Amino acid sequence: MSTIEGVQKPELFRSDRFNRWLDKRMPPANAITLDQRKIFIIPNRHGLYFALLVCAMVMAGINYQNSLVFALAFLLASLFMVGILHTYRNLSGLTLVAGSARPAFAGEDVEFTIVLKRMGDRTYESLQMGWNKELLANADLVDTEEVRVKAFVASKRRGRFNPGRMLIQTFYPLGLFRAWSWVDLDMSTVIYPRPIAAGDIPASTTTSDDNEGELILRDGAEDFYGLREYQPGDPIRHIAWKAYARTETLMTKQFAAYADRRVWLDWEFFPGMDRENRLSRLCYWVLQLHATNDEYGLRLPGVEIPPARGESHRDEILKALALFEVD
Amino acid sequence: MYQIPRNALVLMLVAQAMVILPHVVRLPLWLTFLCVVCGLWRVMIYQGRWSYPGRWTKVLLVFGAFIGVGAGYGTLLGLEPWVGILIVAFVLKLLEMHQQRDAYTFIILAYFVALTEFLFEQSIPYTLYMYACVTVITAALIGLNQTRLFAEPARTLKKASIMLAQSIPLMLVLFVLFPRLAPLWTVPLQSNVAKSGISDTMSPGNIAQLVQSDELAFRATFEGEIPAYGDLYWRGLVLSYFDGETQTWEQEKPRFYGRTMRRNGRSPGWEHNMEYLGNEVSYSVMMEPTNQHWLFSLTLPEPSAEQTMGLVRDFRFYSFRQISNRFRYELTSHLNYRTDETLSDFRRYRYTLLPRNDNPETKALARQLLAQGTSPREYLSAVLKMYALGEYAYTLRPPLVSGHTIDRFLLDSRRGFCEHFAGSFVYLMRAGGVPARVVVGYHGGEYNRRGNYVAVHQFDAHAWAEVWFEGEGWVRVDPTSVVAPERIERGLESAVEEEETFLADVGLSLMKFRSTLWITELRLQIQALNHYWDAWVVGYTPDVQMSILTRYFGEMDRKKMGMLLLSAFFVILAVIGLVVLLKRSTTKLAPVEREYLKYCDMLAKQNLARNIGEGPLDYADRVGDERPDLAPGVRAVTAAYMQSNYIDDTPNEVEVLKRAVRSMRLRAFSASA
Repeated sequence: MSTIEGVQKPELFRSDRFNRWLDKRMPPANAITLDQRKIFIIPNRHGLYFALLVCAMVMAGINYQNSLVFALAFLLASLFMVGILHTYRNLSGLTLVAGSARPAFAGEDVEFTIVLKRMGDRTYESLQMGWNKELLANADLVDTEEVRVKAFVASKRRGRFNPGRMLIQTFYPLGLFRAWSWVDLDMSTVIYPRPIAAGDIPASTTTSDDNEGELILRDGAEDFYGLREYQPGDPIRHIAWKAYARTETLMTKQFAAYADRRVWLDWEFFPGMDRENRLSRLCYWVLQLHATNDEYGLRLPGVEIPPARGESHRDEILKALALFEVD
Repeated sequence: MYQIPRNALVLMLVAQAMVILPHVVRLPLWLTFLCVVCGLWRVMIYQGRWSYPGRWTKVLLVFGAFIGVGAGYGTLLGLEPWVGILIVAFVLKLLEMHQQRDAYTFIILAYFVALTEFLFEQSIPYTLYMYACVTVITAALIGLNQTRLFAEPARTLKKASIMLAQSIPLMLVLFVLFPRLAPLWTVPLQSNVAKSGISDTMSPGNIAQLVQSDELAFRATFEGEIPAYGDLYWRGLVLSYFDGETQTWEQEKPRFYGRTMRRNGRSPGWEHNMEYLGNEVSYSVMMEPTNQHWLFSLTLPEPSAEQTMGLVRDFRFYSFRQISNRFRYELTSHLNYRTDETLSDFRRYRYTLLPRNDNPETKALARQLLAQGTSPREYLSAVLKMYALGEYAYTLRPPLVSGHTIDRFLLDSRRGFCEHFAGSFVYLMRAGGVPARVVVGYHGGEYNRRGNYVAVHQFDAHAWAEVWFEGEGWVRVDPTSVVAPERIERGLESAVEEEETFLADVGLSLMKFRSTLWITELRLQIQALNHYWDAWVVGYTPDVQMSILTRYFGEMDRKKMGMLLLSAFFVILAVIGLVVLLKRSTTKLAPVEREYLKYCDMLAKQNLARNIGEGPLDYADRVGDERPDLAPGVRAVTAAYMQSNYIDDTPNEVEVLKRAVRSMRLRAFSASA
């Protein structure tokens, strides 16, 4: 992988040729139903040992000329064959649907939700899925029609993140075979820059009102401040019903907010620093300012977001940081 | 550290106990104890009270167990010690389960221990039991691959049972068609545990002992009619040497017999001494293992086609291999025959040989009897007359005699079993100068109508004599028949009826209830089932396989057999695949929906399929526009459907809908016609 890419791929795939073949065989889609075109199955190490056991049993049957030993060996050989069918069955017909994906900060594990659905009387047990062999999520689909599975994948750098093909595999029922598929549910999310602590926000750039730090009581404020006796005209939703139940007097909840600071987060704060470091520090301040409920805006080369506050504003700014100068 | 799922662990422990249980009778006591200790230890580990044994404890356990097995069996070679070692490894594996891999090793060992049981026991109940074990082992294997959430032993066992049931058709194909090869190398067999059966020496009392057993000796299936009961003399051994010191009848040394005779083999040089004079019977014998070499046949047999057995000079069969497994052979005998028309001087000497200074009173008796008639025939009748008139009694409880046993029996006790009569008779004949020899084997048998075979049990063991006459050859003479004719006509049970000694020492035996009809019927049914099991399942040998396949598929060769196997295998596999993988919709539709879908299908056949997302009313309008002839019916069905689906789904309304759909179908049918 070169420096920065818009789409990152986890390192599950060895060869590009294999990937191309997979893309042709099962193109990315939001919902994929597993069928014989998509499921691979092969005995694993335990399966090979089991096959050896059957061979040893046949040998014992031959050398002891014992029909019942033969019969047992053949029963296990047949069980092996039936096991292939059952393991295959434990994936086939299963539908995977792309669920939600949460944005994350670079370096964190990103959580993707996949919805598994079944049809008819087939049940599915002991499914493992995910992008990372060490972080496979387990799922069973036995007594419900669908189940939501959370799978995690490590993110490395900011940008738009497509986790690529996900592995879904099962060893159930015998553990002698591995049936698996690589599915691309066409999911993606945004990876924000990794926050790097950057100290205090430069004071000169804060544009605050005179009454900085003064407490004001407002109806639209969010922080609970205290209770006072109810006066006609107070909004009904602010009545403290729990207190009323306790004291039998009507009280009204009061909310307060501190007068805001208006901050411009600027690309030019960090002269001489490289792009990623600047973005990481800006990201840190965004989180700080959001925590203290300040108004803040963002200035990047070619991007300007006016100051505001709230979750959606924060997400907008973080997304701008994530996608800044990404192909 | 890897922790076995609880469900799997429970199944593994149950499987282990079940698999080891039938072995316990052959295991040293301490090994059984070890099994219990290891099982408990594992439970303690699971509960977190104890920990896994340390490395040195393990080393100590393994070495201790090895030495223990060696000491317990006296050797480390042989089948039982090997199974012992296998079981030691199996139970110690319980204490070494750090990874998932170890659990799989445990399962594989469990399957293998289950297999070894078949080297000792092959009866139907054991087989069913072992398949129950295999089901539990398979369930344990499945349990290893389940998530904790949905793991209950009952559910896991059900899955295992279903999978094994689906495996059975494939197993049958393999069982019938998989080519059975000859052994590739020799393997240790079960050690020679004493098996009941006739022995190669005969002293007073040892057959009386043997007939206390109700064990099966062999089963004979006749082609065509079964010879009369009195003719069923199954010859096993010929004892022609009397040892004066031990007072026992023994076999001659092997060199006395010369070459054995095989069909298509080299001429033994004595075949001209056998003359077949008719009354031919063909039969097959399925012999229970004896760990001996002798086989049983009716006189006079033709040489057998079996390569592992040969005819011996005194016209009985010898197996070159020890009979350690059930052995089946086919024979043809001629009940009328003449053997050894002339006897060489040497043989005449051997067959009249008696120890000097032995049983003097018997020898005196012989001289006395010789006075009544000097020709061998006359002497014979004098001797038999003596048995008939001399107050001799046939009893299963003969008094013990010592010293010159034949003197004591003939002149004092006069109470004896077949070996007393046969032994003293041959002694008397020889004392009178007539060549004679003792034959031991079985006489009679029980005919099983269900299985169409004659079952010969240990209590049918018998001893009789053969006497040689110039020009006539060897003639069978059974002195017992003179004393107790019912033994020869109807068998031992009626012969000792008054005495009530039949199987007196056997605890509970169905054989004792031969007079109770339904028990006998039940017993014969069970025995017939066992016979078919032994003949067609346990006895499914390469020969049987070839003959069966040839009967159904014509001439067989390796290539054809392989093709047959592969095609049958994959056809059956495809069928199982369909069963396993076919999608079945189990969403049960309500009757209303079912009727409505019928109606939709009907219209779809008229090229008026309902569009996706099209409501019933819109659909009805569209159909009505396109096919005015169907409009009334469509309206009726739709109205009834709307009524019962959205307003009132009483059975009555459903009935209305049903009727509407039916009349609609009639109309649609007539329209298309």
